[in-house]
Amino acid sequence: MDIKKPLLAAVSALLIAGCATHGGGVLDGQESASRTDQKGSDEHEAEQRSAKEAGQVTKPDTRDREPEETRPQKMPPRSASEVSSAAVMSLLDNADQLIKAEKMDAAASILERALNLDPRNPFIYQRLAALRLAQKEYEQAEQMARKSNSVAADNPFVKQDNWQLIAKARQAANDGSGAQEAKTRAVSYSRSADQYR
Amino acid sequence: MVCLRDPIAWVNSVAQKKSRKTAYKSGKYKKTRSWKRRLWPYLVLVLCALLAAFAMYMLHLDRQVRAKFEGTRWKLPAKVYASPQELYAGLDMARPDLVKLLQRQGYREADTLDKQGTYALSGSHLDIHARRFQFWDGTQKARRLRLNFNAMGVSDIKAMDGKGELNLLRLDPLLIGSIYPGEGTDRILVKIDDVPPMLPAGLIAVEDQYFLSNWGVSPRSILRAAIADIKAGQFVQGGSTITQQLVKNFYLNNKRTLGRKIKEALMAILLDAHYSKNEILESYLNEVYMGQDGDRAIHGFGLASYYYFKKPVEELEPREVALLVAMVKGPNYYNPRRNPDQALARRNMVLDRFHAAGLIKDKAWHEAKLSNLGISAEAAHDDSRYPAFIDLVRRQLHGQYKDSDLTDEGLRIFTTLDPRIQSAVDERINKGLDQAERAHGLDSGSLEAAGVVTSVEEGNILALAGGRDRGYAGYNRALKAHRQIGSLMKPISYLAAIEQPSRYNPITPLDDTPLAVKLANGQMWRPHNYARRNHGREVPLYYALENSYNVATSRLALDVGIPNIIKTLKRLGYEGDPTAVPSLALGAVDMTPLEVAQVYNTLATGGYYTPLRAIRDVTTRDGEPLNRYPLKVHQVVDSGPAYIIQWLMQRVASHGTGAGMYRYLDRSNQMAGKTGSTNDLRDAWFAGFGENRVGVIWVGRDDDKSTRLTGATGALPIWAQIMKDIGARGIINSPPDSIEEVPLNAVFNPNVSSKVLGDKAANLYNDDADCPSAIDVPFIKGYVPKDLGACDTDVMSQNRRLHHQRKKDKEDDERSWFEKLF
Repeated sequence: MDIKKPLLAAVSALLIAGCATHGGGVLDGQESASRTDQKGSDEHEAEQRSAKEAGQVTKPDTRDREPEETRPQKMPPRSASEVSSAAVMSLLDNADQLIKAEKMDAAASILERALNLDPRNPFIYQRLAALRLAQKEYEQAEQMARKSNSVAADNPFVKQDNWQLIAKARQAANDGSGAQEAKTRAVSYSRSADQYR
Repeated sequence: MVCLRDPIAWVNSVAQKKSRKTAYKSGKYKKTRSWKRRLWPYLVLVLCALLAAFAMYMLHLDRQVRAKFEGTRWKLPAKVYASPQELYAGLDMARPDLVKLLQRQGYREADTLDKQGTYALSGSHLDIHARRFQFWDGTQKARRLRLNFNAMGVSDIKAMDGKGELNLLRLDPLLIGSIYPGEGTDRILVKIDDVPPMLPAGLIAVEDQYFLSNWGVSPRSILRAAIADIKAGQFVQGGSTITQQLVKNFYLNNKRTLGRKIKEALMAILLDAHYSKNEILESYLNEVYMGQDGDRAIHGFGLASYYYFKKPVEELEPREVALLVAMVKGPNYYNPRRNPDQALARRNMVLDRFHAAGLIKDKAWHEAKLSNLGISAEAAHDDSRYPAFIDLVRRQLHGQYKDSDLTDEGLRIFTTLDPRIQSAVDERINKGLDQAERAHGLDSGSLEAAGVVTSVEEGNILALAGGRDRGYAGYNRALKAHRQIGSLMKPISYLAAIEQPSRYNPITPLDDTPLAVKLANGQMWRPHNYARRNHGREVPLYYALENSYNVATSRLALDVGIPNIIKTLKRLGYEGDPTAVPSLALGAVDMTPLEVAQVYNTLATGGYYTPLRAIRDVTTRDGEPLNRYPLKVHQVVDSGPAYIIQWLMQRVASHGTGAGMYRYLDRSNQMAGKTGSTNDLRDAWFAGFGENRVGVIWVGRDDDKSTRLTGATGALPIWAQIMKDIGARGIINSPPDSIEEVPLNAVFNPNVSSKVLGDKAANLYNDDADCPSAIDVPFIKGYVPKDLGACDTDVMSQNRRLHHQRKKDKEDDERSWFEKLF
């Protein structure tokens, strides 16, 4: 029964994907404070610009991959169904049912089957992350969310959800400052997602 | 039966009478008479004692019979399954390959798909009646489905049985082995209700006509056998009922003595009295000896069906049932693989019996008699075709399970092996070594090899070869051969450097001029390049790795620090503890091919350590889950450096020492990898990956002598052909947020000094307007060198010179404007 709480948290983390409207203002104050070893991408951006100026070179805009500067061209997928085959979707549906029935190991097993068909689908890793969070395996929850990010290319929606999930996992593992930092990153991806809204 | 109730009291009373009588001591006649009279009680006594002993013996036998029959009747070796093939729209497998896979699993072509384990081809589609199978997560029902194909593979999947929509289906997995003790017996249990009715009925018709009515023994046949035995002067004929045969196999040894025959008969009677005919017959089906596979004894029809026909007993055709029933009489003499003529003759005789007993209709009888034996085309040692992989499975299970759990409990072990990939690896190793021996004038059979293929993201071990002789459980080099890895170490050294972005990037100039370092022990260490040439002071980093320059790498490693490199190696998943010597950076570390695969798998995932696994799930024989081996990932390298090291290794594949792979692979298939060769060419390695497969190939000799092969000539061709055969996908580069790409002209050429290039180099600078032949070089954001811009070159000194020149020109320009104005 004590599984229910984290389960709800995990499921809600997944649901938030659909209706992410974050007031970035609340967290703005913490943003600079929480930045530690992870160099913020904005800083890199600045350094890089100065480097360019020094070399009197400007790069074509299209080469920049920083989300803030990307022109909204094509809407990145926001849910698994947009990028997954019918076979993968039937497995994900199956896994979702098992998660609802709190059969976590069985659900994980089904999700791994889905990965076998589509090993670079960020939504599958994201579900695995949510599942591990529900099982209170916080370390694996974070790692799976990171893995999801690593295959998510330029998708700010997926990355925003993953950083929220990581924030929850860190919070649950009593890593308050780490959780704050993750929240900050979620907010920054939320902002870059705004261009599509 | 007084005597039986209290034999001791009775004996005592007789003894007392006797002592009274001896007191008389009268005449001779009287004496004789009383002696005779006195004999009777003894006789009765002996008889009673015999009866008592017999009863005791029967009780003893009864206990024995029941204990065995009611307890766990058999020790069941664990069954090891390959990874199941998933069928779905989008599967990149052509129809002929899928048909081959079905055939490997004993599926057969049929006109109608009434039976499980059949398929039919028509038009562009493939219809399959997939078998029911108990997986680790439940039982999958048998399904009939249709697959359509296009140029990419399966384009569409559709249910044909009206049992609901079908988006994907798992085929039953290939059984790849059993874990049985040393000289063990192996079997697969069957239920009498699941076997074709012809099997039990046929057994009765051939082995024991009166089975259903007899008491476990048949006096008639014993008599007949006895007469035959007496005529021959020895035991030649059994005259055994099915019950007696079961007793013989079940409880007794193989000695043919009268005593044993009697014991067998008595036990048969007891067995028959206790249990139903069905129970006895089912036990017989599972117990009977059906042949020998090396040191493994094949028992029961369940395993025999797999062993001889590669399919479950449910799917046996009449001719196949007849052959198995025929073999019961003498599994070795009638072995269809060794003595096909004898087997065929007896099978046809058995078919006649079936016909006479009304088990088979005229037409089917004629057809069956004309058919061949239908033994599976695969080698007789089919079950031991995966010795290296099974060895790995055993290792992974060791420590978690007792040996007896594995050999007795019938566990079901679901592994990650992909039989298609395994056969590609085996075939390419065998052919590749033959070819290399011929091409380089080496003794035939002198080379050995090992190979591993993994699945990147899930860390699944898809194939493992421990040597060139497939099917022979020899020395497993993939797990046990600790060999120097040579230049396979370089990407790890370079990764450690790239992880310091303020100091190293893909075009950092490395000094490749001769180097001598005084070691802690006072010796001088002088690394040299493979071609014994040096390449100047400013070899761009990527170029040094592409061409595997030892001297430049040594300087880089000494600068980064050997302990740092060791730390990086361990983060990637190496569990050994190498000595921190400078030559480590060039590969002075011993690793097994499997250990290399773990390290390279981490590089292939983009820095996520994923422990390699050979087992996915273990269940009890009834399908209850016992152990899962879930996917675990751990980020050990930041995405930026992980991306750059992959980019560098892609350069090795497309432009460097690994470029030979594109003799076999399509150029559009972007791979990444590294060659490795060790001192005196003792070891030839290639390790590399595409998007979804990591492959590691080692070629060497067991006596550690020179192979005369380099990584590029010995291991790379095998690796490339495997990757081609298994359809490994190319890498799709998707730089992470932390990467900035700068287009640069690659002009570095170690044979032309930059001074000679002079003005020509300047012409390559196109004022950032356009540089179509430039390559996108990745840098960690914020660490692009100051003097570097788009369309610059890969030689930093030139870039600096040029930027300096331009700055001056611009100043001159401005001044001249100024001068014109005033």
